[in-house]
Amino acid sequence: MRSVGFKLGLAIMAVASVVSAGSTSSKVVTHNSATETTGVVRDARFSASAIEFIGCLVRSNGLVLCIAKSAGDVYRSCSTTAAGFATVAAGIGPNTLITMNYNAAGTCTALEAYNTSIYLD
Amino acid sequence: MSGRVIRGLALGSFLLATGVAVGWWGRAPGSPRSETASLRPLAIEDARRRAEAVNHVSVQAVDTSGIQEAVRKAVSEELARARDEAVLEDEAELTAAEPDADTLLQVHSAHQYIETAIRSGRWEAKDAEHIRTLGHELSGEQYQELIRPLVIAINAGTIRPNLEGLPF
Repeated sequence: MRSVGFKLGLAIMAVASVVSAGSTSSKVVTHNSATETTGVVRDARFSASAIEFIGCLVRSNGLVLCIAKSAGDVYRSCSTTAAGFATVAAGIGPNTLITMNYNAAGTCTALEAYNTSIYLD
Repeated sequence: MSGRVIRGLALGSFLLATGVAVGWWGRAPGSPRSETASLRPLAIEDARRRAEAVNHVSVQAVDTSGIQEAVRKAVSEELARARDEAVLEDEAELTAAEPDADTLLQVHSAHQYIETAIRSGRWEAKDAEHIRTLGHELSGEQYQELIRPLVIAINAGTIRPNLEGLPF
């Protein structure tokens, strides 16, 4: 009986180690400054607050709109038709860490789509 | 003896014939035959030069005109194509840059719509839908300019979207 319990304990430990394998990270929507916002798409979706979101819309006319809402109910958005943004925005997925930079005129000045296993849960 | 006579007659006949022939060809200057004979080399040479000149000119003319025609045709086609492309680009730019009167009216109306919303501080789902629908008629730049006051107002917190999802 003790032997069975010991084996069961080992099995549970093995499963736990497999589940937690690899490095993970979580980033909810955060407005780092008046001109920068970051957040992981999946983390915003499954955050404790029910109002967070972050993402970008790409239109066929070349317009890119990015918008984020933090847990504090603060919106930040920007738009651009500059070359390169649509390609980056189209690469956004569930495990993407988005970093959007913008100016006072609401124009996106930079957009990063960081796709990595770290943000896969 | 008779053999000698025969050979002598034959030789005499030959000399006679030769003399007649030489006399005929050696007539005095002024005779038609003599003029023709003296002019023949010059005429032949002249004709040859003319023929060469004619041939040379005609060959050159054929080649040059052919090349000129080919170049003219290629240039014309290229110009026509460039003109067509320029027209298409101009039309595309005009289409993108200058919406029709109805769209201009709608854009003007939308600007007022957004300004009114900003003053009220409210932006709801129906507002977002209204602007999005209009955006389909506009270029990316036009839509960006249309929503710019709204984006600035949202970022500044002077308007608080009351909806789920994107506000524009």
